[in-house]
Amino acid sequence: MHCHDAQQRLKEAIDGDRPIDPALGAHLRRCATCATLAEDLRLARLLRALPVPPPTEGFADRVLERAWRETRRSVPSFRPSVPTPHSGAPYWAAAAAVLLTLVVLMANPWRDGSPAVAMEVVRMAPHSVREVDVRLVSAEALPDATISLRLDAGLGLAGYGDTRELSWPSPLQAGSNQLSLPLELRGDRGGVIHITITAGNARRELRLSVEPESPGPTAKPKLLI
Amino acid sequence: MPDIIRLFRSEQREQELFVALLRPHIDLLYRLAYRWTGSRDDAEDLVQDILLKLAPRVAELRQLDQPRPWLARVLYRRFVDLYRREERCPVERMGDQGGAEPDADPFAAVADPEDPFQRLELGQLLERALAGLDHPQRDVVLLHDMEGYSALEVAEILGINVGTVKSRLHRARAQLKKCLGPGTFSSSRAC
Repeated sequence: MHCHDAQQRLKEAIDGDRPIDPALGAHLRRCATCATLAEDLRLARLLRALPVPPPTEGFADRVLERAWRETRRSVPSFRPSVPTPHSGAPYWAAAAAVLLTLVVLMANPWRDGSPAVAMEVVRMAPHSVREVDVRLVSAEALPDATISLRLDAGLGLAGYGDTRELSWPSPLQAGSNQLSLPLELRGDRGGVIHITITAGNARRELRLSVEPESPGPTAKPKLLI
Repeated sequence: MPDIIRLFRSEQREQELFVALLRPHIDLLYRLAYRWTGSRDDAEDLVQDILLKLAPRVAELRQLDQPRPWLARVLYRRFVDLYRREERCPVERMGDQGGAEPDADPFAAVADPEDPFQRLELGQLLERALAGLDHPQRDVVLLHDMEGYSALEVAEILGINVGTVKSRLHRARAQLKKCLGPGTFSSSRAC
């Protein structure tokens, strides 16, 4: 018996948990190479058979659900929201109850003659994360819009590490669109987030000034346009 | 990364996709994590940890031709970050501890003991012998011999070249066999 045949039969015997036939056994006694292979194969089989206790019940479903849920809380998201006929107080009051919400009217932004740059201020505690919603209201659908973010040093987005520049295509629908940012003030000094929306040759820039919150009563956001 | 943001526009569909992509690999991830950490709680924590990191990367996961080695690599790196670097009491290295000479009956080399107690004893002996390997050798044995990754996949997972994988595997197997008793794999009390 040649080694090639012997090794093939050896693998078949071990994989199939079958006894070694006399001819193969005789070859193994003569051939150190094949005998070593036999040991290696058996060792691997023994290693694979070492027990692993099962995880706790429902583990897979639980960790997948939790991972998804927690990640959704901690990364920026962009959610076009349903246009509402009541774009004023009731909806905003509900949103502002849990989030700092900034409103930027973008009705026909490229042709309405409004300032190209809008500025708003957010105050937050140093070394903290706060979710900030930016609502973009457009009078018409902008299917080729792109959103870009640029953050000054000292600012970050929770879950995004040291990334300070992001850009992605994001069509805007007519009406209200929402951009959620898990804003992180990483030091004692503030900074500015530049949010740029481009569509075709037109662009609108929003600047969000983040200032460290001083001790005392919580300051409300101030519109600086 | 911008994909992550865009994808949230159809949240439910993305969650379904995330689950569909990863659900088939959870058992593998847990098993690997257990093999590395040696603890069910730690293994579950480790898998949870990397899933948290993978959840925002659904678009990237979709592009993977072979998620199995990629996931193993992610898990391995996280394991090193979270556990191995914090090890204060590394496993004591096993020295050359004797054993039978390699002149044993090759018939026995492929025959496991039928007695369940002997099998249990052999398993325990093997666990101890594995614990005696150094980390690089154990990683290679774990991935190649225990989990069936190819040498090339092991090289990619561990970030080393294939030649290194093979040499570590050779040395690790030799040490394991020495501890177990070469040839017959009969118990070597020294291990």
